[in-house]
Amino acid sequence: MSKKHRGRFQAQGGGTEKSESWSQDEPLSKADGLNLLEKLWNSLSKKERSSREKQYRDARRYVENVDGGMDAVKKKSFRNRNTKDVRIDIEVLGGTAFLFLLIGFLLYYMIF
Amino acid sequence: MAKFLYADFLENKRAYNLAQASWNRLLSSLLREHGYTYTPYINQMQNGEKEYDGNPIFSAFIPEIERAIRIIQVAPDEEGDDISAWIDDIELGKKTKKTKELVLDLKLSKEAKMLAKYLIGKWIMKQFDAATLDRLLEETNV
Repeated sequence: MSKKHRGRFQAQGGGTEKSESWSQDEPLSKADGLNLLEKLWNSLSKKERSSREKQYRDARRYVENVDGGMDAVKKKSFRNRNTKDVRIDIEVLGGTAFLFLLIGFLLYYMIF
Repeated sequence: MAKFLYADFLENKRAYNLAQASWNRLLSSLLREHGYTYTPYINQMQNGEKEYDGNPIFSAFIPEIERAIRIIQVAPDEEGDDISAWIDDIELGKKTKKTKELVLDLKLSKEAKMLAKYLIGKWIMKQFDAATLDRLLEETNV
């Protein structure tokens, strides 16, 4: 059975299909989200990275700027506009993600 | 040079809402022919406010055919072709089954909108896969 809080980061297009996902009982913290995105980035080859440098920065900046969490369903695609579909995707498919840790835990335990 | 519709949509909330309404009208008219319905599936709120970033500007899940459409609209001065498209998967709700999603990423020129309408029509009628989409884009890119 899938957990309440789930989603993934994807590097897609141009023959690449790599992702880092989460599925857990608690909201994903912003720090863990940024770590997962970095893990995805580190799993890419030099060529895959060179065509996604700006898109990685944009996705990272988007997560960093989330204030108060991101509620599902949310999907953001950051495409290299000189290509058909080379991109980095952020997908929040269930629950909440990218909460600042302290606020996140307070909210979570107040509600549940 | 292409004429762009709602060119200032990222700076002007009224233009943004009008652009969004135009996508709604376009899809509604296409779906009406088939008796289909749609519901938005992307949460447009962020940090307590509606997002006006165009990513996406519009989303639609069509339950009768279990297909989705997501439209990303960027400013006219962005680099690259006026329109690109790809097919993705998305898990919606608590279903683990993946829904096929047509993603259109475009600058809203009249020509791009016409091509988008054509592609959405084909998507609704399940008349293409990823390979056919690539061919259609190559043949018709504006």
